[in-house]
Amino acid sequence: MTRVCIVGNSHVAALRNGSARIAAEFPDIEATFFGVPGRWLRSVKLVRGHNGTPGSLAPADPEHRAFFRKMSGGQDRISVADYDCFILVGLELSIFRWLSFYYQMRHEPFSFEVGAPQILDADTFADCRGRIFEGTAGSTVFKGLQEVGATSISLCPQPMPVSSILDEQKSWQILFQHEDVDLVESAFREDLLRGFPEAARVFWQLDLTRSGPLLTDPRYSKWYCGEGMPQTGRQGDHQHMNADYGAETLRAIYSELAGCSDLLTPRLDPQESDPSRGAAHILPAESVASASVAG
Amino acid sequence: MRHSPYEGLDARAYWRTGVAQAHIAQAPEMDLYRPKFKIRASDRVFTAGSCFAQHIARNMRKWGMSVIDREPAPLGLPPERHSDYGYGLYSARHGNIYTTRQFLQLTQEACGRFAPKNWIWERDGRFFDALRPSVDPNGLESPDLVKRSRQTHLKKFRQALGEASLVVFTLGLTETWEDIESGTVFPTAPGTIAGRYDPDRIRFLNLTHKDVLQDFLETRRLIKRFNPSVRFLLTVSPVPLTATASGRHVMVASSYSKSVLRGVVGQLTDAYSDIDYFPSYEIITAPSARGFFYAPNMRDVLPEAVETVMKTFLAAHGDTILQPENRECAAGSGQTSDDIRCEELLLEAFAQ
Repeated sequence: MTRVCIVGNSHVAALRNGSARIAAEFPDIEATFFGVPGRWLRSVKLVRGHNGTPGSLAPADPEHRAFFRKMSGGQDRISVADYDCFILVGLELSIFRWLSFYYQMRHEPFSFEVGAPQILDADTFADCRGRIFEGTAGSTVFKGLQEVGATSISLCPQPMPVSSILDEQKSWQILFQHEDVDLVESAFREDLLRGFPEAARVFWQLDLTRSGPLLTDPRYSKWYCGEGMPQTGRQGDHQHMNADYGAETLRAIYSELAGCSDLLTPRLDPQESDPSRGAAHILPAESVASASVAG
Repeated sequence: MRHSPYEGLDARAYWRTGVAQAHIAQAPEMDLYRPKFKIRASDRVFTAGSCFAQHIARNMRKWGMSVIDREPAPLGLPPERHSDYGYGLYSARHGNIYTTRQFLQLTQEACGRFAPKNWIWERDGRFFDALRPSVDPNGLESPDLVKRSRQTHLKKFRQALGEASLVVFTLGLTETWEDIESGTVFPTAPGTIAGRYDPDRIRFLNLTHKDVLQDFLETRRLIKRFNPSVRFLLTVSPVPLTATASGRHVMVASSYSKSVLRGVVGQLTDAYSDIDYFPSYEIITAPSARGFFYAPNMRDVLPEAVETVMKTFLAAHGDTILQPENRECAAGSGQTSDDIRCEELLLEAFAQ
């Protein structure tokens, strides 16, 4: 049995909603979902294991931990030893954050005509490109999990927005008028990979869920009601997807996990992971450290 | 009937009771500062000036005040490097503005009323904006990039001034360097960060009382044209000159600079209801402080000094700056509609 831990913000909801549909296809995969608003995970509490054994990680704020517990069937922390791999979903690893950097700053090789970009020298600019995702919940959880002993952490970035964004957001209209969107998307991927060189995998959004570069097929929107039907739900939410999206995404992730042993953490010697030897679940005050990442 | 106009005044009016018998650490209780107008939590604060102004801006932010930052640091720049690139110091990325002439020319330029000359300096094949040379420590790759960068900066500077309800400006010194042909003044001497000193093109300028007064009044007039209700809070930097090019001893030159600035500010404060002065200069330089507030180099100001200054400020404005509703706002949940939406989606998915 492969034990997968899937941690995310609201974008994990689609995967959670779609998980039941594909569970039977992957009887050897057991998934545990943790869903918490990303903002709460920008500050996490690390509990290091004893004698090099894996530790655990949880939101730093007690109130947020209570929500965490509620969302995960009673667990208020992620104990690394309980899983073979981790998938971080959404958690501010998005094209929106990436674009906000390029709208604000010098943006070669692009010429976004949005805002008044500030200019940095080329070396500093390149350095910043590799750090765009620092301070995100994804970065904090990634570093936190590494710190407490996780070795296989993969990313599943936030989906691209559905095409309705072009009706509502001027900056996206301008983006599509002036830019080679394929180039934009490849630069986004390049910068995200530069920010997470130690990620086991990045599960990029599946082509079948796309309607083209930078956009998701509206049929996968959380608010999609059927062909020709008016969209219901929240105006302005172009980012959240439905169970169809979640099922397709999970199927691709599970398939890859089933076929690639390098994505899994080698199991510990049972004696080493014995909780009675002082492992991850115990919270001695002196071993608690807070990892707070500045924005 | 009093025999003398000095008879029966408040204790604060006499040196013995106002200074000699009070410890400067008690400055917040010394009634040193009676504000002309109230500063409120709702004020939108623009800060600029010499380096001491950075302390004021930092503390105002700490109290939850709305200090404008129109040129925030990019996402990927580590916080410890922000100040190296001029980020997070003032309301726009202009670095230190030491003189009133520099402030005036920047405001004029942002309003399209002044075009500086000979302002792109070169060093080792890199190009610097000589009007704010410290904001790009490595310089940029071409003069064109420097020009584009400045255009953005001017736009942001104008926006920041336009949205301010309070301009906090710290006057630093009177000595500056001027391009002879155009009158453009530079915050640093050529050759310090970039450029080359050419006495045929650049000259030393020591602003007089009249210069400083006229510069500030003209700056105020320009700002009021697009922001009529803005008010000004002035301070004078207690940090002495690092060096002087006046030919005088640096201590004497420093005293001249500070005296001129303090004199002008006093005159402005007496004459205009929208200009007030906060006496941070006096708190730090007072004889009763016995130099205690300065670092061993007798120039840098210690954190204890800043703390005393800010406590004095808060003693006068704390009731309106630290209103309960503002405290809640500063320390509150800060939950946005996106956060609420995120939480709802999770609850819906995980309830199944």
